Amino acid sequence: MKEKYPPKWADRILEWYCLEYYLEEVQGDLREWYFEKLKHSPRFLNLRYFILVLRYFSLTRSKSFQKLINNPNYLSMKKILLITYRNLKKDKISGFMRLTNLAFGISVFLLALVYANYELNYDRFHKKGSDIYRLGQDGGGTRAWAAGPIGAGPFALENIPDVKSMARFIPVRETWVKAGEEKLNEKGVFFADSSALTLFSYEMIQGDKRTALTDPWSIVLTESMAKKYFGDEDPMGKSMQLLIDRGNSRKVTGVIKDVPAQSHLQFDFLCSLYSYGDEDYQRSWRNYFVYTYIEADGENLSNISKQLRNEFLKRYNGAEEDYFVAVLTPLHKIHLFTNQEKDNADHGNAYYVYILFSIGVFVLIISCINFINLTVIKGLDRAKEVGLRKTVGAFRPQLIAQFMSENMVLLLFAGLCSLLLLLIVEPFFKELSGLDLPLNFVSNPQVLLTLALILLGLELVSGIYPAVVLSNFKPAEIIKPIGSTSMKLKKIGIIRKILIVTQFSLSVILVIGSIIVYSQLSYIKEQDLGFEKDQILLVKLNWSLSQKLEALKDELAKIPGINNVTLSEDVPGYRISMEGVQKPGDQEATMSRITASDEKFLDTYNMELSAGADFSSSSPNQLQYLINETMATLIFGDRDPIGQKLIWRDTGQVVGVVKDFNFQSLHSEVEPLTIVRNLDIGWGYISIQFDPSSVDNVLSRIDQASQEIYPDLPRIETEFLDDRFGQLYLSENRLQAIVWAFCLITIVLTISGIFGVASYNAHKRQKEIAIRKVLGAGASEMIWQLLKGFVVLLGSALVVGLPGAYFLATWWLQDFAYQVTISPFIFVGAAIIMLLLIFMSSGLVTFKASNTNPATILKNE
Amino acid sequence: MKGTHLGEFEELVLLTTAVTDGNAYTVTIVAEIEKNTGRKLTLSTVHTALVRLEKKGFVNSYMGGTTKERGGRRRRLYKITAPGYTALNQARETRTKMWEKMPELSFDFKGLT
Repeated sequence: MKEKYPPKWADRILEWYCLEYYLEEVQGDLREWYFEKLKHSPRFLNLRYFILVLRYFSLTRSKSFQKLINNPNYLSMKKILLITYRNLKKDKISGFMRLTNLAFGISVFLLALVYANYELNYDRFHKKGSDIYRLGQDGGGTRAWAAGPIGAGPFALENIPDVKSMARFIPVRETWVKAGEEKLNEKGVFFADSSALTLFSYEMIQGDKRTALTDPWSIVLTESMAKKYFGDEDPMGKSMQLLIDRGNSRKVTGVIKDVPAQSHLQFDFLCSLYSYGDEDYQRSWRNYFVYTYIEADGENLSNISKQLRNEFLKRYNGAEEDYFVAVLTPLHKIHLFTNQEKDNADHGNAYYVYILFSIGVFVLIISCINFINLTVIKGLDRAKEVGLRKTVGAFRPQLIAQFMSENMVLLLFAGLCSLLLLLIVEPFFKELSGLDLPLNFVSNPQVLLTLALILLGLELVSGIYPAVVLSNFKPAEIIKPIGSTSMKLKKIGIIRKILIVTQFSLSVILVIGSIIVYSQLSYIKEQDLGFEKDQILLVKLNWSLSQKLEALKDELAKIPGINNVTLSEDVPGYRISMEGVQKPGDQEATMSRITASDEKFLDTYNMELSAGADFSSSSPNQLQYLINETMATLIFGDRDPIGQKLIWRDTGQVVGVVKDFNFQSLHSEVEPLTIVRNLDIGWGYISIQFDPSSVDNVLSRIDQASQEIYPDLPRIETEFLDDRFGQLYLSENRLQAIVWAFCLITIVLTISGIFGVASYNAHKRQKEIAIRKVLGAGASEMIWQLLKGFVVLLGSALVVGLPGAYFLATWWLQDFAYQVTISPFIFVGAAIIMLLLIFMSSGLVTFKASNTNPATILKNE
Repeated sequence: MKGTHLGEFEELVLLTTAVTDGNAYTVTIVAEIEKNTGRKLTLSTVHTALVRLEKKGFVNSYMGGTTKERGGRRRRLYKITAPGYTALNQARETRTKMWEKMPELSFDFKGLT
């Protein structure tokens, strides 16, 4: 029989990991065991041998592990960590303050960064995005128009070679959508060219994006709408009815993913545009509510714009010298940087992004300064340690490494804390900002990269400086200071003072800025709009509701608790269209907001007349106009407007002048407004003035009435006008809350910074204080001695901060039509607040220092 | 040196090392323990304990001779040191002291009453 040996491969595993020192012994033992077992129980011996080899594996016997822990770098690292730990343990307050300061500062900055990043990156998911432009027009009004005529797009595509492709969108104001039994009101319905799905990068789930919208009676819907109407059934090929189609049916030809939140166009349904009027209509220059997007190279824009201008002028019979510009807005700028007329896109406010981002940067700088100051101070405290180490034989690089790694440990820890903090505040921030920020932004590589950069920068600034300066000292000088060393220390003191002044200035700017932002936003919200907005209920009308409008109106008027009901084309709070109005003999029309209404409009909205009378019911067939004061001065100048003729579609008479009121949000000034009576151009809204005490009853009765009159339609939807205005100020409310929170953080950071520096100063000067006390100085005198330095620093900070804050505030306020007056008290108040903060935080420390018994301090001398 | 505490298992291994003095290496110690206590141990367990004991300074080791079964590989023989002997002794004394203090115990056998 062939003699059996232990398997070679198992031995090789052993040789691979086992430390040389034990190898011979272990292998010998194993063999002895093997041959012993061979005699008595040889079953599965090789396997058992292998298992035994594996069981021998442990860190103490591992080659690579022992190599690692005996590496000199590891050993010195271990020592550095140990010393760091001891140092932090020795001064827990300073370490804790440095840590929390930095963690807060970084978190605030990262939040601001994520927010700014989100707002600045709207519509970036479109692959052709950088070549897409929205075609609008500027005819010399107050603002350019975002929308244009329906024929402009086909014209550009066919006649301008630089235009590569084109897609049009037409929003539908309000409609119901029906599929099977389900019939619901929808707001996100658009008509769109078939090219819309290829030009823009909406993700198709079902259907072909090239052909989905080519059939005039096709419809593409989003995933969530497909779920809403068809449940789990396959929606493709199903038929849907829409109110706007007047009896025709559409076939579902595609499903797309829900439109991303970062898109200025928000829709749920896309209907083929080819069912929107015939071929001639599609090429006509009518319907000014069409959003046209073209794809073109950025270099050819001026050429395209010129050709479009020529065509516009030709179509409108304009002269060559007329002011007219075809406005091509880059897709990426629409969300944040445009404020065009006729735009119903999802808009952000660039100012708010700037404000929040600069607050983030300021807070970060403040917290970094705190960190640097405290670190430098701590470093100086260790001059003696450095001296001793050098005497014992430490080299400079070792000392630098020691200081820098101590710093790095703290920085890394602060970075971790800030990430943790972000995780905690993430849901609150989402709710506060109202943005659907990318869910796990903590694991966002950009955030992590920024964090790493901040930490690295801080490491360089706050670590290298004290490390290099301190390690440069000569041991003898530190232990027994002579001139040059104290010079060096003084230099560090000056830099520290500069940092403190910077920090104070930023705090001053932030505090003043927050107060001004806050008061401006409250000012806007609390302004008297000049009409009733709290007791108005709106019903948006559509074609099917309009069929039995008189019945509905009569029924509503009968409900107890409803005081007034009025019909109008538009209402305050929503966009009112801007059109040209003339007086006889005028060459050019005056642009004015214009809406039609019935006689009850002024009564319902409690608007006041400054001259003339309301629409009279005595002569119902006469065309009558009401204008506001701005319009009166604009078109009639000094003449009495009452009884004057005015032309808009038809000639009529001005019967009254309404006091100026803000029918839109207070971001804009009062614009000229014309109200025309009973011109039957289709009512848009019913406004109901109700008695606040019987709201519930009124609401249920309206519901009941609508069910009786329109048994086939979805429930009628109502909206409170003050809710609508609340929505207009939503971003202001959010900004207010965020600014407040950030301002509080700033104050806390400033306090902790002052606290740290003050306690260091008090500690350094404790002997001086003790001697002064012995010589008879009073407590208040002592405190002043210590505070004096800070007050001087604050003084210089105010010199920089106050004008800076004033400059920034006026820059921001110029965007508002209605500005709160910047009262000097705000500046005085901020200065006092800062002074109080300094007194509170450093006063506590100094008081403690000046209250200590001099004997305890001086006994060691 | 880190802890010099002697664990129960370490005590057993140390004791066996002392008992088999002169021929104490992993394989013999495993065999001796099994013979005296019936505990079946693997080589690695005992070896780990020996390494630890050596680090604590309770045993010394030196390379000994080889046999045919070992394929020419020498064995590492372990020998108890004076501190090791003291530690063993202390452990025994503690035990003896405690035993001397042991009172007369009566045990309740609940099921019998």
